[in-house]
Amino acid sequence: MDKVLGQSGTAAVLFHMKMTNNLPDPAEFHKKLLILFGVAGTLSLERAIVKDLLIRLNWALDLLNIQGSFDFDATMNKIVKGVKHDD
Amino acid sequence: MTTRKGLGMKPLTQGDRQTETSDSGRSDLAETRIATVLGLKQFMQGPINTLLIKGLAGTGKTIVALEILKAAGQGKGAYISSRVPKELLETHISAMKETLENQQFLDIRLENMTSVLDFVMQLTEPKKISTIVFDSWDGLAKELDQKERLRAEKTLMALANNSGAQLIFVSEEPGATTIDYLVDGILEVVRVEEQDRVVREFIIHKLRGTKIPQHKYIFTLLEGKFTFFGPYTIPDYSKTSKFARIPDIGESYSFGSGALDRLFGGIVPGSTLAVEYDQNVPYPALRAIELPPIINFLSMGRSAVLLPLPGANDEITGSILTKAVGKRAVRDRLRILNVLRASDLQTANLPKNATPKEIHEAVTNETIRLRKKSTDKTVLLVKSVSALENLFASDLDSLLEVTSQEIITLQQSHDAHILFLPKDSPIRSRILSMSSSYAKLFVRDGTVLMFGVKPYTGIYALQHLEDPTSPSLTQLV
Repeated sequence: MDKVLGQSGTAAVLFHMKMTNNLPDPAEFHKKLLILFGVAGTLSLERAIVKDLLIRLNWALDLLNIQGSFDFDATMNKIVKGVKHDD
Repeated sequence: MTTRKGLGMKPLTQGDRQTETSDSGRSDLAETRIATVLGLKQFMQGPINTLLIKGLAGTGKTIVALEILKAAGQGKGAYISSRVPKELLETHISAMKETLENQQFLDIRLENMTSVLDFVMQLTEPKKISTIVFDSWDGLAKELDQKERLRAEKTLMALANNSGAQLIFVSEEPGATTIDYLVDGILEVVRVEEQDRVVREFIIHKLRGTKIPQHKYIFTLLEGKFTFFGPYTIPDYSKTSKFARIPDIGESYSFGSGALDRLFGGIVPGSTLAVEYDQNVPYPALRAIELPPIINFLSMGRSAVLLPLPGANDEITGSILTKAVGKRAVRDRLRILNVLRASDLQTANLPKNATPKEIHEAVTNETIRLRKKSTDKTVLLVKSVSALENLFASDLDSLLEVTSQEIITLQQSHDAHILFLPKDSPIRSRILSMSSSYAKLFVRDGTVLMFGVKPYTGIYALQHLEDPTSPSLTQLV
């Protein structure tokens, strides 16, 4: 997210959402992002987060369909399951 | 004619508006608010979410931002200061104290960008705050590297778009920065020197989705408030009403206008005032200097002679004067002699190709005739040099000679004399050297500006706010 909002922006968002300690719950995170940035802003941020995760995990970008609107919660759950499966 | 201050007259000051009105009971200070006239009302209503106000130190950026904040409504705005604490800002701009009291004030001088962005989220999330001012934005953003700055700015744009809050960034960075490309509107405020006097100007560089009829405007910070001037508008002469005469100011004659009296201190008997004007000064603006003294002279039972400017409509002039002072005064104690009109030359018994001397004699005869009808035997002579120059282009020396004689004669008889002189007049310097006082009129950004060279005065914007025949002068500070 810091590639879009910058380090200050990301820190501010997480601080504002009171999500600085643990990894946030994707559904809860999605809801809070919606309040701050609306549908379009949230979609852009969530897509950036997923893309960044896929790159870090060395997964193909087309593995998950994140074009257009997508379910952030479901996508994140798929990634978590995939990571566990890989382990 | 010498004009002077003193004799119990107060110069036009910042306090004039609250404490003084002219004798005819009208205020001379314009109050034209940015948000209601400039299209910034549209800014307050929607299409512009983010605005950058830029300019060097001391140009008036903070006042412009506070004016917009004020328009947001009580409790609906927030001022985020990275420069000064609230108490100091209230001292610097006392006229805006109420605005600052009515809105949230966040002092972020010792905060970092993360805290500031969090503040903005706290303010915008409940959607109660409609306008947030960052003064100054670069004071905060300069602490970040270029990429981080751009990302923080993008975060703010996204927050503004979603919440509907309008963000106003105040900046002292003269060049284009990352935020220039992101914001919906850019205003620049500048101080320019005009004839050795400071004039403030604001420039609209962009206002997305808003029609910009004019890009540059003159403004003043008189009384610590932002007041801008639209282009000069011709007054509605149908609203001319009966004039309430303004008595003499000590030994001086009144100009017939509180604003002009405050500026020049009245007309000293026997003096000559030269009014120099640029060719783009609209005639009605000149008329605002030309007619009030004539109207007041006639109202006081005195007489006047007018040699109008080329292109003047004598019927309009006659109609205005009749409405102001009545038919009888105009008929009995005023002579309008249009030297460019054959019929006027005929009634003055002048040949078609009259010489400057012959015209001078005709004016002298009219002055003598009207002097007898004047209650105190004084006469006002208002004369266009331009009309005579056009007529005697090949014999300007003779024109100068008779003008000089005229000035001496009027001086001895304690009359008043006003000469209208185009800026490019070939006899300008000679006329000015003979004049006891000297005022200049010119146009900048569509606004008619006026100041006294002799005596030295500040610079003023000329408008017609209430009385169409009289000028309203607002000082540019």
